[in-house]
Amino acid sequence: MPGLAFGSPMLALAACAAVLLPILIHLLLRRRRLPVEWAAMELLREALRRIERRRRVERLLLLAVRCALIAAAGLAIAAPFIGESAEGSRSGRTLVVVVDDSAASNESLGDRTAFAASVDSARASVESLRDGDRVAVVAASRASSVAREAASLDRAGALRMLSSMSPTELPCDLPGALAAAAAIASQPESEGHVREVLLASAFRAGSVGAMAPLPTLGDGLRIRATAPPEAIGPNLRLASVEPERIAGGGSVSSVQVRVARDRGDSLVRTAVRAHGPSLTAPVERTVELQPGERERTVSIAFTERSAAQGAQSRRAVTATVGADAQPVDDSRGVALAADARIRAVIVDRRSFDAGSGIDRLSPGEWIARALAPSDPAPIEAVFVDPAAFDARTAAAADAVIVVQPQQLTEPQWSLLSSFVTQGGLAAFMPAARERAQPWTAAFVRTFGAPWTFSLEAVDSDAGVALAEEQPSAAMLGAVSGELRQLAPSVEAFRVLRVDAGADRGATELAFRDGTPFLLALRPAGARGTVCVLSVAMDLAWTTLPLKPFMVPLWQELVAEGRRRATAAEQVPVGSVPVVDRAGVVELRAIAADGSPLDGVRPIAVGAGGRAGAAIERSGLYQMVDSAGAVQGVLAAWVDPASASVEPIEPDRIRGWMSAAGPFAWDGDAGAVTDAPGTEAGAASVASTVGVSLAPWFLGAALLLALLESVLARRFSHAFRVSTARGGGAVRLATGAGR
Amino acid sequence: MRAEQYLAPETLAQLGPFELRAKRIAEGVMSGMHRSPYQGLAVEFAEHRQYAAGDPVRHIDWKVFGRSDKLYLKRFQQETNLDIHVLVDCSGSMRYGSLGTKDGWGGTRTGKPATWTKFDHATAAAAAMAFLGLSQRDRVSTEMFAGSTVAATRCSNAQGHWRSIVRCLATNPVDGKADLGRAVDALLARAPHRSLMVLVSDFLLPQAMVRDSLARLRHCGHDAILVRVLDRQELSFDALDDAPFQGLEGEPALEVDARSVREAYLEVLAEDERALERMVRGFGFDLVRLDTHESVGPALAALLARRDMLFRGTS
Repeated sequence: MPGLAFGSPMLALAACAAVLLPILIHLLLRRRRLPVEWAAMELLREALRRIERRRRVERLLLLAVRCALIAAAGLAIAAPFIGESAEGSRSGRTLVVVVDDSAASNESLGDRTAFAASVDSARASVESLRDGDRVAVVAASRASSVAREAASLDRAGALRMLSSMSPTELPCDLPGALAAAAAIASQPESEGHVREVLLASAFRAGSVGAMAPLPTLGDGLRIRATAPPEAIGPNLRLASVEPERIAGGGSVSSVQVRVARDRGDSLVRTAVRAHGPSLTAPVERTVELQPGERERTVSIAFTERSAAQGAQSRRAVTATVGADAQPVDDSRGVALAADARIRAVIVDRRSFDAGSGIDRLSPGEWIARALAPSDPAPIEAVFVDPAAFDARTAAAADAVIVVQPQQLTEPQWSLLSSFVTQGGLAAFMPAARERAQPWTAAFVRTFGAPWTFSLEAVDSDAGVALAEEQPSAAMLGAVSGELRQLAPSVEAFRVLRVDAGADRGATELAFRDGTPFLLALRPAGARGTVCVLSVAMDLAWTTLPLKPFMVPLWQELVAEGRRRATAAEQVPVGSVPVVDRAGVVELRAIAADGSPLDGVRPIAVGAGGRAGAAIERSGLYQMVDSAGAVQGVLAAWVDPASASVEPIEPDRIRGWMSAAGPFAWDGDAGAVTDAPGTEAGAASVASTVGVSLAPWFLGAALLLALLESVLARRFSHAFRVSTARGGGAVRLATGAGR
Repeated sequence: MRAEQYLAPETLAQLGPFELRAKRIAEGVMSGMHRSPYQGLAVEFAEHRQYAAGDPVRHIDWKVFGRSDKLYLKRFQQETNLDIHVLVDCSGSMRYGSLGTKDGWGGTRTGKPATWTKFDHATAAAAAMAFLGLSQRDRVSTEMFAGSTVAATRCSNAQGHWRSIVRCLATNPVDGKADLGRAVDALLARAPHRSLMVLVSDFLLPQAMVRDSLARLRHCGHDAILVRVLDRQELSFDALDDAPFQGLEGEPALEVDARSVREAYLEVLAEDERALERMVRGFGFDLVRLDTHESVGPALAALLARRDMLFRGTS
């Protein structure tokens, strides 16, 4: 039920206290009058006695009217009003303002951003609060870090907080923000208050997300939201930027940029610009999306400066499209893998027979020739005796090819496991001179491979060739186009059967009968890759060493392995990255051209490579070790889904929000939607605008003033004409019986 | 000439030949009577006597002549030495007055502001009555009373008695209430013969006291004239501000809103006057009310004329 409250309770109290003034004046004035000597006291006393009762009533009535007049005037000044609801009535309000400062709030609305509009709405609501009301501000992008403390009485502090906020590139967490707001509004300090959560957001797809289930708000808590603004202009975003690989381990010189339409459906043309610290010059390509077309991919080739070895770790490319409605998704970077010469260690005993013919080459030598067919070779192949294979050898290698795995000791298996974990490529194949292959057990145990190996190799007199149609090999993606021509010519006469079981994706190459020829595995928690061939690189096993497929197969395996391990991480903004680069202690933000960015605090990297804080800004980050050397580049990009500015229908939002509690759009004239389970039309009025009673009190004061003047005049008897003048008349009485 | 010119006995005392003054008072009284036949204050018919040559013809009773064709003279009581006793109230209430004295009042120019009080007016009326009595060779006494007799003269008509009367009237009012009953008792003790009692007061007294006093006078066969002296303000109760009203005889003060109580006061005053009038009439006495703002002469002259007409009508 609406109750009476005052805009200024202190003025109301002062008005009531002012009622004492006429009483005091009356009392004081009475004492100051000089006494009048009078002879006919008995007559006067008798007259007073006759009128005393009437006079008492007159005095009291006049006093009452004067007191009421002063009270009415004072109360009118105190701005009374009726309008607040329910339990707290005008005992106070608690307002928790949730401001959408997520990536989607960067949307341009013409002369200002959606974030600025949200802040303006929030500020207006905070400024409408009165003394005794409580307020809290929650950032929707940082809901998880909001302290669940009671709302404060400090309106000025809340306004300062709003002024200091800025939009971020982080995802929006409206459910978390609502939960935090509900927790804040439920504190004991807000008991008895009218409690309200104001959601200040444009409610685009990026903020709303998948409309995850909202927490149910407590009793008496209602939601008010700013109405979604009208969308202005289309929006294109960079859905992905991927480096294009050239087979053979050559340097990347182009990127594939996928441009997607986020809003709008008309013909739109934009320029995609690729630039980076290692590029000789930015490169620009025009992309055109036809009406109805949702995305288009463009390849941008570029030229890099030749640089010192150390500079290879700084290779990165940033793609940018023209400015549109959403600026945060107009730029996306990708770091390129270091293009240093790959070092492959072949764990095999070297043959010193100078006159060995091709038929006498060991598997290791066949592999070495395939990795380094020419000079200079992009891949350095180094022989290491199995007995000499140790940690130092592994640390210097990008790939380890074990030709004689049965000669590995248990510590060496552990070493290889660490090597793969840290990003190296380890390749295994059956021992050429042995039929039984007992090393497979150790392999399975070491790398947790879900495969089943046969204990012995199986001969095939007719030989079995590789299939023409190969699985979509991830390791051999660069040569996937040539597999149809290269693979079928390879035959195997002796094969160590491997059953991949449920791990169908592990097969990179298969025989015509479907049995695996090459399997690849990324062990759990490892950054590197493990490969297993089912044949030894020996002519007694397979014709592969003599086939053209030998060179690209081994070069691509090793290069892809290294690329996977050393390719720059791409992490979404808002995530806490794990840097798998040994020795990295800090992430430093750099500009697209590689120059340092001032004003952006570096992010420390702790033990295990985990960053000490989430990345809150898109762009490139150098991975710097304790010596200050750059070990690589990390690219952080805004999740396109978080930045989407696609409008959402208000009714969908209302339906989503209403599941949490009473909901109304700002400006709905106080209408509150029914919470689930309540009867239709039974919602209590939650008007935020009270009805002022000041004019009524002022009118009453004027009427009372008029009444007071009339009564005072009447009770003073001054207007009455004297009708019984006693002076001058001579009255005679005669005696009787004279 | 107005009798106010001779009002204040103090003023009269300051004059030289006060006999003259008294004459003036009498003349003033006489002028107020508009030359009506003056028969004296106490004009009570006593008997007839046969006319003899040389007797004043104005005393011939022509009604008897008309009936009997014989000439007879009326003989009046004045010829029998009537005593006139004048009692003047000099209690605290008689000190009230609202009329500022005029320059030259009473022939004096004191230069000091003064107020013409009821006592002043009462003594002026008493002086007039006393002088009239003396002038008709009646014996006159005066007595000033409040709670008790304050001052008094013997009853006499001797030469020089007028001075004693004036000296007695020059008494200042005293504080305290008037005790009319006690004064009348004292007076009755000094008045063995039938006399005319002139009571000059504001009669702001308990009516029971007045009634008792008048009853005793009547019981003793005396005649009485009550001269009630009231101030103009007491009669009109206007032009007064809200103020505490302080009594002149020790009564507790009253906080009064003058304008609001006026109507009721006038009503009470009228009732009091009617009651006094009925009481006086019931005893067969005369009552005259004097306003201190008006002349004494005309009021007294009207009283005397009225009494004379009544006497002639009943004779």
